[in-house]
Amino acid sequence: MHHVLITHGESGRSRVGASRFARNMASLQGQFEVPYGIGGPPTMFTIPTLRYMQTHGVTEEDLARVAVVQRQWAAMNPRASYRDPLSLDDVLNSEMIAWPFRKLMCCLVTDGGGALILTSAERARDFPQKPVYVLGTGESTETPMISQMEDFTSSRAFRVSGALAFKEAGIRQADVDHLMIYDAFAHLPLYGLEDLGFCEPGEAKHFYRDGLTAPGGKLPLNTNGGGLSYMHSGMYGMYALQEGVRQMRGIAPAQVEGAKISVCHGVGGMFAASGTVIFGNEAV
Amino acid sequence: MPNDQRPLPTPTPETAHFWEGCKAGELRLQRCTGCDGSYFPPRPFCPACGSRDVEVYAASGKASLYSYVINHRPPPGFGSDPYAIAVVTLAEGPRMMTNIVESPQTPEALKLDMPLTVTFEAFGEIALPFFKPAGV
Amino acid sequence: MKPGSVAVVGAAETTRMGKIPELSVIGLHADAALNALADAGLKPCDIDGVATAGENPTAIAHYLGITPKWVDGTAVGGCSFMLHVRHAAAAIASGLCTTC
Repeated sequence: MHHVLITHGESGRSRVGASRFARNMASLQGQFEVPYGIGGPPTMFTIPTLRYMQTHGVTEEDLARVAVVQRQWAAMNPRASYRDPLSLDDVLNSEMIAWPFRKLMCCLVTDGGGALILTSAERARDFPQKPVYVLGTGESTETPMISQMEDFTSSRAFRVSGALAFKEAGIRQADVDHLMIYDAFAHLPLYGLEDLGFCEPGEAKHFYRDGLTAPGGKLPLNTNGGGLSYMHSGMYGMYALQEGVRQMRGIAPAQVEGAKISVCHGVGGMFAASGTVIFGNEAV
Repeated sequence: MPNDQRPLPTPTPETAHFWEGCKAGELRLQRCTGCDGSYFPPRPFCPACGSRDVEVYAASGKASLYSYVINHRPPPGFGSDPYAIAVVTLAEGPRMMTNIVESPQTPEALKLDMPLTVTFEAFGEIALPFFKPAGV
Repeated sequence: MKPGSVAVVGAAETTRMGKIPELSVIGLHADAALNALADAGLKPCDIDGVATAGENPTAIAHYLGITPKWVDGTAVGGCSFMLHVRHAAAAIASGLCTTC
């Protein structure tokens, strides 16, 4: 097989031609979660966070800081939905959605689509664009019900998927120039940094307190503004991959100078699944 | 909350014992007779070892608060006041999602690890397991 | 898969981003796909593998006029596309197609 096309498109905001979500009260989630008043991802994806915060001394300011930093990246992205700077107070005073999560700690709702075309490295030499090589990948699942997540301070699916990708690529965290961690909510980059092995459990807050993931920092993270400021149509993973590809091609609006390795890590459902792709721009 | 407009579970053959237990005021779990592990949600086999030799038993009803959010945007049927959506750890090990009743729905009142006891509320043919602060 | 044996040669998002009421869901898939094809200098008939989530891969292949020899509709939520890259890379690297 020569050329694979991967497509995504979602009318998350405009709902044009979108199917209605059908609730099945006989499913496990229907029986054991829906009756307790869950109402979409902001009321489910966020439930583990309080345990994480209290276990590791992570504060509401730390969550707000994630949103502030991603808005700094979005400011450099002409296609971002929101680009005006945010202060910690802006985030901490935004409307309460599901305590401790406020509106500006939650993803946007937009429309959008993206597509990728893959081929063998040999064939890639004859194409107009500089090839972006797949160095390693990973995938895993944990549970469709947030209440059944093994450990609310860490995602098993993240750990399994990330480890597979790093092992296949044969790289270590210090080799990573650019990182995308699907940020449907402000706590996800914190979990991702720890579960991908960039730091010890509980230490991810320092990446934000010390500006390591912000413009100018040593680990540029979510350089398109992310699901919090760039776009989020419901399923965001394709956009993490698109930014990874742009960074490897050297054409991203907020280009990381000399980036050679990009890790694109995604979540599915409420910590239900995970996938990781590691890109490089040098032929192996 | 609670009120009688919320969507209710549709029991399936594998979960019938659980919902019958709730109706009878009993929190039922299953455990594997081979590896002795309790598990939730209901399954007719043990997810730890795959054995089909499992039994239903009445759990103690004791739990502790593992985590929660306080939802400020109730969906239809859940009234208009904020309420906690909680996950509790049962004394026997498994976790389940629930609401906390007989308590203010505030961060001050809902402390992680606080001890809880199960209590059942009837909604027509279904009884739902909620948890209240132990000693209430 | 041997690291670096598969590469991305086409990548694009929809022409517009954010508020796109003039395109339906499948239209968004197609707009992005056509942009990625143009980026790669390919036509739909050059594609022989299709993966997608949020739409049925049969629907996408039909809409774009593709006859696939490899199909993946893994749908595990937002990270499905990472899984599609992983699955596609494995298929390409193992040489699933025997004809040109």
